[in-house]
Amino acid sequence: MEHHVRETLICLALVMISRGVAGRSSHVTPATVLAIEHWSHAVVEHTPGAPDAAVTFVRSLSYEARQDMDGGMQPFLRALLGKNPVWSSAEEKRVVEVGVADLQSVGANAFLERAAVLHADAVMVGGAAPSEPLGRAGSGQIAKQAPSTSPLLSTSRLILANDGEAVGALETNWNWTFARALLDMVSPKPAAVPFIGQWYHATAAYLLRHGEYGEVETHLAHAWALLPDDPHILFDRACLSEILGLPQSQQLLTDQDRVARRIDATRAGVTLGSPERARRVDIPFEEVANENAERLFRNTLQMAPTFVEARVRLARLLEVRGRFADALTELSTAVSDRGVAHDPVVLFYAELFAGRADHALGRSDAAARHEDAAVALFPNAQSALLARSQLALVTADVDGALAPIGRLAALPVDAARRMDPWWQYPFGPGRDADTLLGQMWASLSR
Amino acid sequence: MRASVLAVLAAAATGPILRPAGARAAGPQAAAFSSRVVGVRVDVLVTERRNPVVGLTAADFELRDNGVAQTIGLLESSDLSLNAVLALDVSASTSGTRLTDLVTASHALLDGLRAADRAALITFNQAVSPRVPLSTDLGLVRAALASLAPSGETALMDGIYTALMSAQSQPGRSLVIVYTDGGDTASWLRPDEVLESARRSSAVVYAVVVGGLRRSPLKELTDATGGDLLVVDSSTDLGGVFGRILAGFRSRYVLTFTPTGVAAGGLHRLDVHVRRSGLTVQARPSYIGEPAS
Repeated sequence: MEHHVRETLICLALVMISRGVAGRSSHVTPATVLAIEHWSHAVVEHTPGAPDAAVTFVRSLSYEARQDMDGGMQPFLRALLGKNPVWSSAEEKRVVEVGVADLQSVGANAFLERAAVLHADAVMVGGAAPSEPLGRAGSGQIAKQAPSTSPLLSTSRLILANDGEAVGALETNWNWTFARALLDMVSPKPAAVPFIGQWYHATAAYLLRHGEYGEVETHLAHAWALLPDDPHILFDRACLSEILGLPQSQQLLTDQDRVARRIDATRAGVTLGSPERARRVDIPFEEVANENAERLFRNTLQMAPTFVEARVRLARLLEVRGRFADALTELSTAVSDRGVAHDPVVLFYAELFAGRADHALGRSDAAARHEDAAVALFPNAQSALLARSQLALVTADVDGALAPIGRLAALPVDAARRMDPWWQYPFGPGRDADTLLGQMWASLSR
Repeated sequence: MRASVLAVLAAAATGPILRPAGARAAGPQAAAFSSRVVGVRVDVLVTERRNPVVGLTAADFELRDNGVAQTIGLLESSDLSLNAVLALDVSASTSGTRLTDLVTASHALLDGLRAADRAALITFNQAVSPRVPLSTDLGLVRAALASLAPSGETALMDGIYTALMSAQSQPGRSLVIVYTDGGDTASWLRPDEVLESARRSSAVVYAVVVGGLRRSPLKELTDATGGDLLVVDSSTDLGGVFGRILAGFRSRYVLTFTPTGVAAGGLHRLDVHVRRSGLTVQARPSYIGEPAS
C-alpha cells in the first residue's frame, strides 16, 4: 500500500516536471534553433568533470538565451525520447532533427545523463560562485525575472549564512533545476538506471561540502522521490537533517524563534527571510532536526545494516539526546563491522564519540582509551586533544589536562594546515565529494 | 590538607600561603605548564552602586562552603601577580573595524599591566591557537596581535576551555577575557563540559560580546567563575570595556580557606557575603572538590 502511494506521488511529480520541460508549448524562432544546436553540441562534446568549452558555453547562457532554448525544448525532447515528432515550421523541424540525431548517435538516456553532468559541471568545475549573490540581506534587491515554471528559467532565493550569521541572499542556480528535470525523463524510470543514484549522491556530496544546504534540501527531496530505496540518498538526507541540528545552523534561529517554540511546541522550525526575498531556508529546531536525523539514519541502517558511518552518526545523535548507553551499543556494533578500519576518519569519530559516552557514564578509563585511540589516529586533531584534556581535568590529572594544550600550542595557527576530522563532520558525505564525483564522471565516460 | 581540583589548578597564585612548585620558564612558542597543590581561593568583587569597594578586611566577609561557615584568610591582591589571558575570536565575522578595535583594545589592556604581571594570547576560529603562553614579555603578545587575520568559523567553547587551562600555567591570579561577536559554530567541547571545567578553575572569566547576543551559554559560564558577561553594541569602546574589567579585577578581594566540616568531593556551593549592608558581592557560586585520598 505504502509502495503504491509512493509510486503515485512519483508519477505526479514527474508529470509536473515534464510539464516544465517536455510538455511546454513551443515557440521556435531562428534564435531558438541556434540555441538548441549549440546546447546539443555542448552536451555531446563535454568531457565529464572538465572545465571545457561546453562548460564555458553553459555558464555564459543568459536568461534571454535560456528563453530561446526553452522555446524549442518541447519538440527537441519529444524527438530525443522518440515520441512521434511533429513540427509546424521550418525552425521547429530543424529542432526535431537535432533531437533525432542525438537519439540516434548518443541515445536518449545517455544524452540526458550527459546533459545533467554538463549542467552540474557548469556549477561545480567552472571556478566561480555557483549562484549569483544578491547582496546583503536587507539591501532591498528584488527578483529580476518574472516567475516561471520552466526548469530552464525558474529560480528561487536562499538565505546566505556565514559562521552562523545570515549575511545575505542567493539566487538558486538554474543548472540544478534543469539537470534534475532532464534526469527525470530517463527510461524506463530513474530508479532503474544506476547512474541516476550515483549522480545524485555525488552532486549532493558536492553541495554538502560547500554548505549549500538550501539547494541540497531540494536536491535530495527530489532524489528521494525518484530513489526511495537507495540507502546512500537516505544517508545523505539523514546527514542534512543532522547538519541542520548542529550549532552552525541553529545559530541562525533567534531567541524569539525559541520562545515561539516554547509557546507552541508543534512548531517544527523557522523559514528564514520574507516571502518576497527568500523562498526558503527551513531551519528546524534542534530537537526536531535530531529526531528526523535519527529516524533517517535508522531507516538507512534497515536498508544497509553494515553502513558504518550511518551507525556512528546515529550514535552521536543518541549522545546528544543523553542516551549514552545506547550510543555505545551502536558504536560497538559499528566498529565491529568489517570495513571501518579502511576509513580512519569514521573510526576517529567512533572513538571520539565513544570517549564522550563512556565519560558521561563515569567510565573514565574506558573513555581515556577511546580518546587516546582518537589522538593516535589524528595526532593533531584539536577535538581529540581537547577531549583528552578535559577528561584528565575532571579526573584531577592536572598534568594530563595541560599536556594536550601544550601540543595544541605547537600546531600551525592556520586551520587549513591542520587536520581535524571533526571540522569535516558537518560535511557529511561531502567529505568524500571529490572521490564520489570522480567515480560518477568516470562511469559516464565508460 | 584536603586539596580540591580547583585549588590544584588555582595554585598558581603566589603569596605567603600558596607555594609555587617548579614553574618553568616558557618561550614564546613552547608553552610550559605546571601544577601545584594549595587551599581554595576565591576572587571576590564587592561593589556599591557598581563602584568597587576597597578597604575591607577578612572580618568583613562571611564564606560558607555547602552551608558551613569557613575560616577565611584575605590575601592582599596587589601583592599577587596577575595572569591576563586574552581569548580572541578571529572568525570571519570579526574582520574589518571590529578587528582594528579589538587589537587597539588589547594593546590598551596590556598597557594596564604591571611589571610582574603576565599576559597570554589565544585566538580561535575553528582552530584554537595558544599563540603566546603566559609571559611577562608583553612584547610577544603585542607582536602576535599584529598578525591576526580573521577567517573561518567559531569554536568558542574550545577557545574558552583552552584559555582556562592556559591561565593555570603560571603562578598568579588569572583573569580570562573572552572576546567574541557571536555564537559557537564549530567546537567539539560542549557548554556543559566547559562549565564543569570552569568550576574546577580559579580563573575569573569575563566575556565581551559585540553585536548582540544570540543563543549563548556565556552568562552561565562567566557567572560560574565570578566573572561577568558584557554585551556591547559596537566595538568602538572595547578599550574602555577591557580597561574596566582590569580595574575591577585589581580591586577584587582574594579570600582563601581550607574546607572544613564538609565532604571533600563533588560540587561545593559557595556563599560569600559582606557584613555591611548595601554592598553587592560577585564571586563564583561553586567549586568542585576532589574526594580526599
